[in-house]
Amino acid sequence: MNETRLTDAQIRDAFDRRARHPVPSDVRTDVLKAVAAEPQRWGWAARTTEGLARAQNRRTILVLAAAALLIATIVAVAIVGSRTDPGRRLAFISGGDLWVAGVDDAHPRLVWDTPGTMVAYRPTWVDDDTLLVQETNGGVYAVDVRTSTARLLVQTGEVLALSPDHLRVAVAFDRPDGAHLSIIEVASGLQVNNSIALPVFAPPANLIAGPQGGPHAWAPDGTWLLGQGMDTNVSATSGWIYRLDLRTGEIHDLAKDLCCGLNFSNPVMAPDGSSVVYVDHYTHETNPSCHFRCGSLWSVDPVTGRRLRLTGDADSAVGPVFSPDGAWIAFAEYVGPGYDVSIVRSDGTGRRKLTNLADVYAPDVEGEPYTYLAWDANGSGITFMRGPLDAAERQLWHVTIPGLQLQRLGTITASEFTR
Amino acid sequence: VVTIAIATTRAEASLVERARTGDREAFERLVDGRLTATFRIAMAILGNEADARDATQEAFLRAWRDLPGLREADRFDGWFGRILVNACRSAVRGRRRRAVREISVGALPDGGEGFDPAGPTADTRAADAEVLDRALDRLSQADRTLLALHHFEELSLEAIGLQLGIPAKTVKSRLFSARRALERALEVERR
Repeated sequence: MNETRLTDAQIRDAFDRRARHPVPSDVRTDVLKAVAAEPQRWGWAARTTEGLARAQNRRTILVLAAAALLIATIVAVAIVGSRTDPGRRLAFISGGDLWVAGVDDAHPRLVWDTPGTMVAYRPTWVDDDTLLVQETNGGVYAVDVRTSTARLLVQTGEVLALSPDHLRVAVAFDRPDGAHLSIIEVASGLQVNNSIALPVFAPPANLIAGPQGGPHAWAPDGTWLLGQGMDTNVSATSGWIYRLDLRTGEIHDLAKDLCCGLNFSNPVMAPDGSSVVYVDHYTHETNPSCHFRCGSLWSVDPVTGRRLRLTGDADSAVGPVFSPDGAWIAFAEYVGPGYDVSIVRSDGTGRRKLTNLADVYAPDVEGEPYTYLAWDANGSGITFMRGPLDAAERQLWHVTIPGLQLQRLGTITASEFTR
Repeated sequence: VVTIAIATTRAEASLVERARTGDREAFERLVDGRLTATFRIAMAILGNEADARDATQEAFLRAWRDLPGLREADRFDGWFGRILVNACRSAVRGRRRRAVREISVGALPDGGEGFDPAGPTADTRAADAEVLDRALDRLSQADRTLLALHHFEELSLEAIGLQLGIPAKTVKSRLFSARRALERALEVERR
């Protein structure tokens, strides 16, 4: 934990310092010279704009625009409505608010309009009607999607993982003596364990909720949590994945010396807890074209520590996510300038590319967002996001594994989602 | 804070109308009224003189070229703000083609003192400022632009949304993401 927080004044002062630079004396001359040599553009758009501004018959234009909008809406509804693959409902964050789609992924409904400048993130399904949501001021809320009411569960903390029975949540708190982990009962908001001291990391570091939003980071037998951070005793390039024993508070290494400091290795736990899959990123030396964007997938047995490489040296994988039955792993494959969705069996065989888009979104160098790929409940398809790497919100898409049918889910953009 | 987001006055609107019909002298007066503010916001976003100079020149050039397409003269400021943001984006793209920035992989210092938002001592203030400046450089151009428009330009969420062509709600969530990214970058720079 020990996360840095900046004030508005600090950010403003930083920009003031950058901008406190005299305008070079020749900039004005250069600008005016360039303008003098440049004709104005009275192209189609400008002429049309001019024409429209002068048009007497604006009513006709409005009628035509409305008709075009109606046709577009009918087409969009038909496309969204044609998807018949049921599964867990799609919950997503759009504009900082929490939305939930219907079982057919259509008809999204705003379930929590966050007040003021508060922004919700990391939605996690607790049960069919309740979502756990983190918010920007540090609060953790349980949101009832039937009544659209949000209940404050934790004033200030960071959700790490949801228990296998979904009744409790592991939350990290900052204390003067360091970060601690507490187990909170979702129904009552009460702490049900003695706090466990967390390892001291160089920031940024934390335990993770896992790309499925929680359950996959807490072992099915309830005895340990999957964690990651950076080993400050080695160097900034040393990523660390570990097992935190909830009974004793002891740390057991699963993988160390992972490249690279900022690149969280996206570790995920198999649904039965028998393995952990993670990414070992490339360094600039090993793969300059893929620096910080991709690496190899590895699997490690959390008990024996035995490791298995799932993808090859020259591969380009990030963001692994187990299928519900644990047999397959979906991941984002870097194809430059973006990613595509691929799958591979948990033993490293049967690798297959599902999309050919080159703009699938994958976690950035800081491991955000936490949800970027999600399997359907029956394992028949994968929901993912598409859009520029630096965009804050992206389109939600779905691909079926048999048939490889692509479909956009609704028309709203999202910063995160979960199923 | 110098701002280019001032409302277009009636006199300026008149200049815009004249420039729109090809009056270079009127456009020159518009340039004079906005040059300093434009360069400063470009500096805030881009962080170096060469790129800020390119973006400033490109913004005014595009504005001149495309002025005939501007329907309402009193919307000039918002319209020009959008052009400037795009010009900054282009400047960054050009810079990326010229150089690849490496993330430091140097050894960590002992200890792990945090950045103190409550107020650093006089001895550490200058060092903190430098670190924060480097952290800003680590951000994506999109994040830096958002933060600059909000914290330096002091634009409202709605005004930023108009400049970037996105809803105010989206601006809010993007601002949050950008701020988090800056805080993380700061943590990395402090190691």
